[in-house]
Amino acid sequence: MHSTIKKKLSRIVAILLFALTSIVLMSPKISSAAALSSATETAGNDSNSSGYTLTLTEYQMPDGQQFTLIALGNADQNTGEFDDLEFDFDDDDLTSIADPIEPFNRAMFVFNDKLYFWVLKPTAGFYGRAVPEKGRIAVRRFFTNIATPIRLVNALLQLKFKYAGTELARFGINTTVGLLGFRDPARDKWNIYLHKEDFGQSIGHYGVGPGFYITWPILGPSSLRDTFGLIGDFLLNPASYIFAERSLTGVGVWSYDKVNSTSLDPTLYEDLTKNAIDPYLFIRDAYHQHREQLIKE
Amino acid sequence: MKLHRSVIDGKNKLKLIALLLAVFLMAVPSISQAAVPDLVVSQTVDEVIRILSDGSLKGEAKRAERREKIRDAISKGFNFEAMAKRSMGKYWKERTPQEREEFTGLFRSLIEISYISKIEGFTNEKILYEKAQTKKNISLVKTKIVLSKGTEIPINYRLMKRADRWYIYDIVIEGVSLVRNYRTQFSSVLRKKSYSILVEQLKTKIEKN
Repeated sequence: MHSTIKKKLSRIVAILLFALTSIVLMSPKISSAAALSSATETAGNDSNSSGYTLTLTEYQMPDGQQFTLIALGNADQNTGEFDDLEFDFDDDDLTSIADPIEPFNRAMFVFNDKLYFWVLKPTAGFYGRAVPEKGRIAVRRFFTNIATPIRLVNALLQLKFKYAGTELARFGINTTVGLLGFRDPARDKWNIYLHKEDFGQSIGHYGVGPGFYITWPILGPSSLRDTFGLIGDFLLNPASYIFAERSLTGVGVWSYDKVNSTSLDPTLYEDLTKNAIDPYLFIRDAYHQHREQLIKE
Repeated sequence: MKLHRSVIDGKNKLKLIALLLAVFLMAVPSISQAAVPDLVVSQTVDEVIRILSDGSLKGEAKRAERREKIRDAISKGFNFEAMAKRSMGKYWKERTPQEREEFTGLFRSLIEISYISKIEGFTNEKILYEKAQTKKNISLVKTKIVLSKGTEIPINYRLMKRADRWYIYDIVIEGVSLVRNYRTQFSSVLRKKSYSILVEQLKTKIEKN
């Protein structure tokens, strides 16, 4: 009894130490970076003050009349020049992620692509036919709920107390009323939405850039920063402790989660990449933009 | 404790917003539809959803007709030339007017084949709209699709004002700007190869569908 408490405590201390050292090590200009991010946060807060849970208008069937007015304006569609200066919303225009190891990344991309088409997709297809969709949705919710510590701790690390509160509320409601997280009454009944936070975002929040792009085999797109993040997330995820005890079972659980979530939208990867001119660049840019957005929020 | 607080906060904010909205609606009895970015987005999205949920347009047999209607609905709210231009970035300047027109057409077809099939899978999903954030001639409308499968997709629309009308010129899905993503791909081809090769690649993609 005594030793298990000690074990748990040492784990928590290890996680916190990891958090602190990686933030400090990776952010030499921590003070200026912090000032920068707080400025953007107030700007963001301004727009987010309504938050996602607040709805301005819910979708209603439109009446035809409103729509005709749009059509009228269309007759006069102007095809002139646009001054690029108009678009000051795009501050991020020419920023893209560094890719010094592109040949390696491209090779790993091909490997992952083959892995998807030869292994993941058929497995998910078979599994999807065997298990009803409702069950698969419940399983995904269970995995999401169990990973709450990742979101909660990282919201706290970024001092986002509102999101820490919603994650705590979601966990409390879904674990009890939601029957161990297989259901999501927090979202469906109380409109409390999940907010993605992870370790890579926490490090990014304090001004650390992505470093460069890395495509890991099996794990997929990442960056130097987010690879550190993955380690932190792994330590914070209760599911990882199965891995620590029995690594093979841990891999099995992780794969099952992947297969299950793939089965819920089996064509997503193909739909997105099949019409890309360069699927590798599509994924790289989408990953980078998505991460930067998550960090900004 | 915390749990209760956040739930109540949400409700109170909702009430406040509803109240503000009511006041706003009373104070401004009529707003020209296309003059408000929020409405350009919601009406375009609503029209697409209306087509998708129209019983007489359902099924494989009606596919061509349904897609034609979706295309029409989209073209009213979007400015494809602005999208095409921005997807090419600085290379746009080097193109002749004919090439620009050709490229706009191809870009538009590419968007249509890439997204209409995906949109067709969406029915009975809830959409939440936030109020537009407008700065002079540009605006951002945030929305979120609440999928029945248990996840949410944030989709934001960027709009620009031309001749007193608002047009969507970019869609940002989960933080990923469509136009910027295409620009990464296009500029790689334009830098390493040429415009004619890019056109060939676009045509090949479009013909395959």
